[in-house]
Amino acid sequence: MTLLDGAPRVVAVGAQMFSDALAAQAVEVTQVDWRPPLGDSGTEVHLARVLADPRHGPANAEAVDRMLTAGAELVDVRPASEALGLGRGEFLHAGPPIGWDRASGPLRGALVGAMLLEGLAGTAEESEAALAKGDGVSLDPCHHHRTVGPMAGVVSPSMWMFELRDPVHGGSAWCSLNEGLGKVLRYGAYGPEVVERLRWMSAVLGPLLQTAVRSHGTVDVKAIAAQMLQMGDEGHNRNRAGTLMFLREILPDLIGSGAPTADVAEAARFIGSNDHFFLNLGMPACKLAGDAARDVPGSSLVVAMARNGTDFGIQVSGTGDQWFTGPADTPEGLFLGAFGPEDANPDIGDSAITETGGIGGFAMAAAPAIVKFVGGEVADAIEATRLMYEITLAENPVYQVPVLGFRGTPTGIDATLVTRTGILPHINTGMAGKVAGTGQVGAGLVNPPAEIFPAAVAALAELAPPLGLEP
Amino acid sequence: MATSAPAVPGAAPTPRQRLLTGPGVTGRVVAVFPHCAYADLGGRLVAVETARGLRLPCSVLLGPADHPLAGVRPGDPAEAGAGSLRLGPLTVRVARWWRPAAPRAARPRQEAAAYPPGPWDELVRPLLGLGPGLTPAGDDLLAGLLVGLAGRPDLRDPLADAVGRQAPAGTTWLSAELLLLAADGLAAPAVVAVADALDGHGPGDALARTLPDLLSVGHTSGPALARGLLLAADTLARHASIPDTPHPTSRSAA
Amino acid sequence: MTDTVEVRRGIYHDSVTLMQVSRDVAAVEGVTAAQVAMGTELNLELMRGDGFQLPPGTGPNDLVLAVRAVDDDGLGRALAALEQALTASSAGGGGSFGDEPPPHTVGSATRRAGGADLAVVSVPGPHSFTEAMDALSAGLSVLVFSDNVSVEAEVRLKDEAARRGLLVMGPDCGTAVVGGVGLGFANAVRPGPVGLVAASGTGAQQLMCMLDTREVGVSHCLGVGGRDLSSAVGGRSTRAALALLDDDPSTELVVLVSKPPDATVAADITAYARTLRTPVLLALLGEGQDDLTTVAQRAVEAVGVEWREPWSWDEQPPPPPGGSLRGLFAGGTLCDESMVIAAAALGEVRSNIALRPEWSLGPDLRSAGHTMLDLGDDRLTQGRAHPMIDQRSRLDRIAVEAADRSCSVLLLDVVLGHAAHPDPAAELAPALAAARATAAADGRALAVVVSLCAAVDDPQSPRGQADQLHAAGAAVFLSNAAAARHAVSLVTGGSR
Repeated sequence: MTLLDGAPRVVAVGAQMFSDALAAQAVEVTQVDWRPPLGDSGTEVHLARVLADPRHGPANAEAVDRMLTAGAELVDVRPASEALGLGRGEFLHAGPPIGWDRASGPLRGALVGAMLLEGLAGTAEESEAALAKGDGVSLDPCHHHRTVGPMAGVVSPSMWMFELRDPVHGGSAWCSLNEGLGKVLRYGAYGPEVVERLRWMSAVLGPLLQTAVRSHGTVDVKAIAAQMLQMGDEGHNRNRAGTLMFLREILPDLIGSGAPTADVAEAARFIGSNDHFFLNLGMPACKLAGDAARDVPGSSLVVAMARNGTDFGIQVSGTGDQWFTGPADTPEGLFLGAFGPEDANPDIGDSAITETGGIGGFAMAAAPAIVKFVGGEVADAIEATRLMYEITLAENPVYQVPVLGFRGTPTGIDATLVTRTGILPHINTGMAGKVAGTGQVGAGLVNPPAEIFPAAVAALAELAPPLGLEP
Repeated sequence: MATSAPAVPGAAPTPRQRLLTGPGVTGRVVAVFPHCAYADLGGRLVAVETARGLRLPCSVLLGPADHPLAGVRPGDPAEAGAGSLRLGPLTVRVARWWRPAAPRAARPRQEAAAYPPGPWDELVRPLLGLGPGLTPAGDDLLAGLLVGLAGRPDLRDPLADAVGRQAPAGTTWLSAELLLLAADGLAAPAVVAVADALDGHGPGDALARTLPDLLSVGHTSGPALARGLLLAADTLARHASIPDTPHPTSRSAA
Repeated sequence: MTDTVEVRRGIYHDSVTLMQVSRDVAAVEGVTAAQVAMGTELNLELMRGDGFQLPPGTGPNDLVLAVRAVDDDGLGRALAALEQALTASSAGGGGSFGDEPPPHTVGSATRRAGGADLAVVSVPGPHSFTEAMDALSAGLSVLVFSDNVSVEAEVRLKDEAARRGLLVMGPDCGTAVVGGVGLGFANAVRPGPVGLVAASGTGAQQLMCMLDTREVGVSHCLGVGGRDLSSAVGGRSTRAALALLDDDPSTELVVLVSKPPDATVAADITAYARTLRTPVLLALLGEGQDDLTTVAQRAVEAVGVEWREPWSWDEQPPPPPGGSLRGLFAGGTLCDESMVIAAAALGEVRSNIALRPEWSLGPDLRSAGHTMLDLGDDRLTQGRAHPMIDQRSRLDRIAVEAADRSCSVLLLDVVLGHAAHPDPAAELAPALAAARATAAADGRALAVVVSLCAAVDDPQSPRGQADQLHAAGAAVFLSNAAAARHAVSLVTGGSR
């Protein structure tokens, strides 16, 4: 079929009158809902430079192919000191880089708790003083260590980590073990019950899981994630089916580990009663997908979205490790108990890696059970997922949405598409209290700050060859 | 007569230009399908198709509306002229013209040269009207054969004359009208695409790309049309020498 | 006087729609000024120029509504009209998609439609490259209506198209016909044997309409953009369009319409045309070349049809000699052709697109002697719709010329067809009648000549348009060249 075989099927972008004139000629025409790009005037020049880069199309195809084909297998469970080489006083945190001075309440609370856990201070006050001075402590983003952490995302040497491998591209990724909901470290709580639970996790749960996983052999996390989407989970704010499937997989090896029955029972109860236990497996699975897509020159694929409670940052395949950051927004949603919007901290956590990898808010239509939780009707959930196809490069062949006819989830956010359409990624998230020590206050929906996408496009434009005339 | 809704725009086929722009012809709707309605207007077949129709060479093509043929019933009055067409409650305004597909190698029929009855008549007689439906499979085979031979007037024209002699009595009126168009090399694009592919146009896998569309036409029509085209290709292979009858508007591809 | 300025963030409407809304609101009783526009620098400057106070931080993503009325009642009516107009304009787009959000990019629209062949891009110039590139990536050929595209961007688009076996029409391509479908501003011409490759939009329209007078149809008309045959672009799209038409079984003759091209490119394209199986007729525009009507005659005769002069309605007494000719055009090439014809007989013709630099009009564009204006020129259409859609600039100018004692003949084009004004004569005829009355009241005769660029099947009903214009005292010609010659003959006292 060439252009001149019969009446053309037309897509029109711009003045509506041309579409009207075509419709009056009985021509099939699809009108694009165009609007000016995000950012200041000048964005269009950057967009043109990036789209003119001959590497752009093939680079995006390559990057998103790597993202889609990346596998994720749980291979081991080890303490962070051993798995990541974290030394005494070294802490990882969620989001782009930040120091104590700009850290938000929940991140500060989590760091205080980690100081207490590691025995680096006796009281919260001593912890804060040491952290403020930087005395014998250092902070670094999880993402810089192929690690992801939900909410505050604080990792300290004695915490045990899931270790995942991508058998296709060879990457590794790590994530801590999930503590449950309510007053927990990752939401900024650091009371005695928080620290006590963490000690039990390091002393009992971690070693038990290590034994079980080693005896079981690798667990295909990506396969569980694919199944959970067909069972009402979206992999970010709902992980119930995933958690139970993981428990089903590992339980015989837990029991067969020879550990005291009481410990096994407590571990099984802990995992089974924590609806979010699988989140800390889904996140590193998506991290492997994002990392596989890194460093393709010319590509505008977003490979990480992360928040530290103060800043929201993204990284893009074609711009290496550079972060593009803006102020994190405060989520909208439902609140626990008497908490209200004024109690909520701005958006925090590495868990937006799930949306980066094509699940979470992007698979909202798969999880009708939680649409009310994030403030809406089932139709809104379907619309949210459908809208994300406008800003993504692919439909995921593995993650599928039953209600959309098993259409693949929208996967692979393209910074140029976000910039062009003004449609911001849809992120499902928990909400932490803004005062250190509070814990979780609610859950809801949030978007990244708009300006970070044109900023990434501008940086890509800098790296693109000039739009010169060929000799 | 039913009251008419506002006219919808349509693309009209050039072979029906005179009928649709003339002073006015009346007739009636003879058949209605989900994506096509047929009318008899002064003995000529005119169809109205939705955007999902086959694009028959006598069809007025509508834009992508929801149910444009809703309400049109067989037996409804029809009329055409002055740039519009009415089938029962549906009024179509001719917004543009479209030229139906013909094989690239097609040459016009030489109206002057009338061939006397000959061996073709023996082939045509048993095939015409053979099979069920508005366009019997035998007719479809003949239509495929006519389109497939469109580049060889010396072979096609005696066959076309034989079909022209026998079709009025030998098959349904609607099918006879479509055969008349096929005799001029005109057919739905799915048919013409296969004819061109058999003639060596397009990429190496052109036949593999075009054949599935043709085979999915109708219940029996697609396969019968394809059979006719293959028979034409076989006939052409056995009559390889092309008599030199150049025409200023034709360019057979080397 | 009461002013109100409202800024709505994140709401977007295309400029043509907003200009129509502005016009509707300005027409409300009691309203003295109304501007509804996106907050681009240009628009904000226009509003400030009108004395509106704009809130700081207003930018190109904001919809700005600025209305001035004589009193609060007028303002209330204006705001009601504004809401109604904006609601009506947005009702058309999204409704039919149901719950599915509308596509926001060409790539998405193509996937939704299950495939497409051609994208028509008419977003503001600086944004058009991105959309056009997206279209090519999605496997679509592109018609870029937008102007203000750099030559580097044009070359990049055309190289990408060549790599993918696609065609880029434009930038600044106003007219095309593909498979009988008119794109942009196009007349409703019948299918036929002549294929056009055109670097000029209104040139192509005139040529197609001239062919239409002899019932010679058009297979396709492929625009290439006014710059395609420059040395920088090197005829990239012209070559691609020629190849497409050569391979098209319904095209028997190709006519290539262009201003005189770069010499090297011309030689290159001519050599290429010789390798084609389809004959190519080269039609260059400008001084010393055939006019478009003559080109049409050559094409008509080349396909074996007898030529006859196009229809005209020209009985009209000439005004006393010695006055000036004033041309007011919507079509650039029609203006150009008229200037070439007039200059050959009258000498100097001043213009905003003058044939010679020394004949350029001053920045105020005030007429001086024989003058012709291209009101569709980029510099005159910034921030407003093209005169083929919105005739206000021309209606205003007709009144100005009528009041000028030195003006004795008015020459204008009226371009019909898809996307053009639905009934231009309804606005022009009263303005022309008023112009003649102004002159008569002053004891002068003012002759009016109209070049009606129309095909018989155009949706505006050409015959009805001609009747209205003629009833207003205008001589009406289908051939632009004949209209120009007639206008010249009126100025020179009837001697052709």
